[in-house]
Amino acid sequence: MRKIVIIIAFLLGSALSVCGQRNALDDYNFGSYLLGKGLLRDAATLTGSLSDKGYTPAALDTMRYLRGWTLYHSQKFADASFSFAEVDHTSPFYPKSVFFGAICDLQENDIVGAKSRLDKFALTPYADEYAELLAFERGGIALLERDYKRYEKESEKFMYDNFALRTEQQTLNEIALNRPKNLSPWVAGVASAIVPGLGKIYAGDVGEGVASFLMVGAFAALTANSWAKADTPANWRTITYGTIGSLLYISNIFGSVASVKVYYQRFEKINHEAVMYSIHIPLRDIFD
Amino acid sequence: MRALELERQIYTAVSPSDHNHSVLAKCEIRKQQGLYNEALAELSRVYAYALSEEQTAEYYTQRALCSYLAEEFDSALTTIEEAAFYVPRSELLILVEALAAGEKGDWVRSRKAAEEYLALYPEESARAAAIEELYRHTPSLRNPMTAYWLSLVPGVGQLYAGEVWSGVVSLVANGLLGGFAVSEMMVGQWLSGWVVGCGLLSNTYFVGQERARILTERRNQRLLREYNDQLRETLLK
Repeated sequence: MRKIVIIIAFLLGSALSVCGQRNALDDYNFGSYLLGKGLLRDAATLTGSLSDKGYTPAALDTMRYLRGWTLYHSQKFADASFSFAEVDHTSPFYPKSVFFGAICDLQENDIVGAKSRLDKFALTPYADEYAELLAFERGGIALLERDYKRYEKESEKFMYDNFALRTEQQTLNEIALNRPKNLSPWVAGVASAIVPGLGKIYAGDVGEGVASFLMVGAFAALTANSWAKADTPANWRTITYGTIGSLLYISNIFGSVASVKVYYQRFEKINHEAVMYSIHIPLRDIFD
Repeated sequence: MRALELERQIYTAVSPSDHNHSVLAKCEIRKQQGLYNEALAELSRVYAYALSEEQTAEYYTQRALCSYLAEEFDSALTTIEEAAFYVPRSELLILVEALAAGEKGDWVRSRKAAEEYLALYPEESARAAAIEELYRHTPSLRNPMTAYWLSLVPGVGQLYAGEVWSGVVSLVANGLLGGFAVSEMMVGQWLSGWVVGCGLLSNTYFVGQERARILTERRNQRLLREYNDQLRETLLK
């Protein structure tokens, strides 16, 4: 009697497990269809609450990956990162979850999170298969941190023979060579004190430099003209134009000092966007 | 959750007719959720060749209604014109035509549709009288470009847009700067007259023109909104 009960329990358990797998497969196919159609709201509902659906652990990982993928498409990167992190290393979706999880971390400016995710991945059996991609992503992160030595170390592992990676590897190399100019705020300030606007031109902003020169120059000319016509500086025109011109002159010096900071910020932003774009593109080609 | 169930039915539908049935039902849910653009996206998925007569009527009604609710008034009116070839004019289509045409300021079309709609309720003479009264006092919309060109004389464009204070400010500012420029030139201060007077005057002059155009557009939008709120309230009473 006891044996019969055990056998029935085993059969029931197996049946439930198979049923759970089938549901998960159906749900996975359905979820992929929803994402393919761009029905993100429906995909989010499907993958919203997974714990009460009786999935097997493997099926649960698949659905967690699908949830991460849905959130990634919805540009909810923090939540997507969390869902990707939940996918176990035994899942066939683990490598994709790791790399896209790292991208989600970077979108949230969590460089430490992205690095630790990739470091953990490097210790798994998948590391050899994805060695070049891993080096590529780590190299990209090194560039985001402006750690050019680390980038050189990672780029030594680039083989340039993978169709999905080759172009972006070359782009990263170009970005690595494109260093910002070494500008000094002091030089910009002094240059603008000598010739108004010159500091801004030195910082790469020619348009603003010329505008500053014209503005300060116009008020200097007005002041000089009023002074010359009245033969004395003590008249309302000279005082008004002189005051406005002086204020413009001083603000032009401070503006030139600030423009060096703006140059570095702009360079950083362009660099950051280019690296983010480059390390993102191959993932779609490799995993889709 | 119900929308997801319907999407699963669409996914597994074996016939175009089943597919259409679920798509229309899902559209209704999205509309009730206030997601009008998503409701319209659902409607774009129907297989038109497989729509039954009843489904065709529902399809056009939902498309016109959702377009109106999504503030796509041109699209709502085009849908109604297209529907005329395939389905009889329903009460809802007529109502949407009256409201959408009103939003576009097409009073003739709006009034015609409203009268057709009210003819369905012959017992409601009070509402018909209120609507009649409303169409007798449609807002007079003004041409923004007329305001722009009227502002060649500073302030007149703003007055045309009904903004008296803005017109006075524009007139005074331009007058002061113009006066300053002329007086400076008259005392031989040519540089000061040109650079400060004319430089600033050109700014206030051209900005004033652009402002008159924008003010007229805003006025039209406000009048249209107020009028259409009234029209909607009265028609749906």
